[in-house]
Amino acid sequence: MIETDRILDGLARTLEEAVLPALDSGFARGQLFAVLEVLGSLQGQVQWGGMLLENEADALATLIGQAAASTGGELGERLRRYAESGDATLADRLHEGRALVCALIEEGHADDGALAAGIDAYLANDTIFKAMALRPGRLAEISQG
Amino acid sequence: MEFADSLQRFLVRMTGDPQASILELKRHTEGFSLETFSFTASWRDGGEAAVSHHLVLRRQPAAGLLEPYDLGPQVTAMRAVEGVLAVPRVRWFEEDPSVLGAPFYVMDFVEGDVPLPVPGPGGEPSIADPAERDALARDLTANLARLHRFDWKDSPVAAFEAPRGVRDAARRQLELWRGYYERSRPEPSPMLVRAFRELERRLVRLPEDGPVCVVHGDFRTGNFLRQGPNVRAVLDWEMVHLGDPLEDVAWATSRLWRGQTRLAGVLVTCERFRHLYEEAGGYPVDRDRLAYYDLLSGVKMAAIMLTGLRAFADRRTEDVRMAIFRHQLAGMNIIIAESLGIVPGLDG
Repeated sequence: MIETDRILDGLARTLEEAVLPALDSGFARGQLFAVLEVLGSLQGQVQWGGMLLENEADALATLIGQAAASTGGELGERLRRYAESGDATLADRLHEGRALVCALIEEGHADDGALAAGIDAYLANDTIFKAMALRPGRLAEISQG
Repeated sequence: MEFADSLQRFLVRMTGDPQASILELKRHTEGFSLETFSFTASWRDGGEAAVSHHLVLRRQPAAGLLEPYDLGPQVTAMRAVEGVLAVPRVRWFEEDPSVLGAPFYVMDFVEGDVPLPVPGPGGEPSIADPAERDALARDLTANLARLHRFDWKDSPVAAFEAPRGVRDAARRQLELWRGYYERSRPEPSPMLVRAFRELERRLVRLPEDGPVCVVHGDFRTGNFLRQGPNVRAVLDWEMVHLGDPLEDVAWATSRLWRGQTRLAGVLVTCERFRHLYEEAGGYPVDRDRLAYYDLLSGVKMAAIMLTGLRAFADRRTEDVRMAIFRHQLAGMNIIIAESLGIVPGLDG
């Protein structure tokens, strides 16, 4: 929902407009300008997520393959098209795969029945893997400066 | 300088003293929602000797976590419960955005420190003494119980939309936070959709009837000032509304605010917090309603984060603190998954 480049741009703006004016040390200012140059060079070069997103795409493919075999109607058609579209980009596979899982949940497939355990297993594994990549937050420092 | 000049003109208008002045104007970083400033104001009251007051100004941001903003309800509520629980006195409320660029209110500064819901460097509670934490939790829950028992029907809060009972209150909160989620135009989120579905399923099992009271909406460690074991002021009333009292209890004891400890608000165990609340005269804690709001707490926090991210993505705010929510959403998903029972509870 938010482009990595927008975050890089926001970081650079904050450093340049809020931090730089408060720096008196010439050395610190030089270091900050170097950081700004590196941040600028990353624009358009960075993709968020990497291996975590590849793993999620694989898990989505497995779950949706399972769902495609047992789901009828319009949603079943979408699931089967997804299962056969192996050449889509990672971003497209993630977006459509997540949207399909949302549709399965909204149709009640996570309430009970054969698919429910598979949906919850996908959610649990994906959540745990992504949370493991988290670093301790810095709420205290952010709040108190 | 322009802000200080405008504030000084406002002070002159409010006090009637053309010599009214402000000193020590500072902007604070606390709070992710409203902009916060403190200053000392001096003026002559009715021709008497000059008086000085340390004041806090809270201004509506251009965009942010809880948009669209309306400061009216929080000012109404804070004024209504003054004297009922520890709350700063609101002196002035200015709705005209031309005065300081956005609506704002000015309240009395209250002495004290704000414990944060984070552990110390070694993982220990930031208030080391268990007896002090327990005493503080006792006073905190007593304040919460007094808020919930406040007779709002004979107060200006009666102008707020009132749910018909606890099921209607739960439905309104579900729709409110689903609205925030949808307006943030997020990537499809199977976890949040799963949580919304589960909340709908649990909703029909809640009783129709039950207490409707003033709900603070963000009652937790991090949003009050204390001196030792005494709560000096409950702050951050942006989400105040009429609803189920257990919404506040679930929020205050949510894993959102336990740091990496097992303690509600890094103070006392959740069970102890609920016991103290009931003992202080709060409403009986019904487990089904508590579980509903425990799940809703994670959903609400995720919706708030997504709203801040959307404002940042659309360049309606340059507050880079909003960007931290992108990676912190993974933590929200863990908390929601725990409440759903699809990952083991990390608190045992």
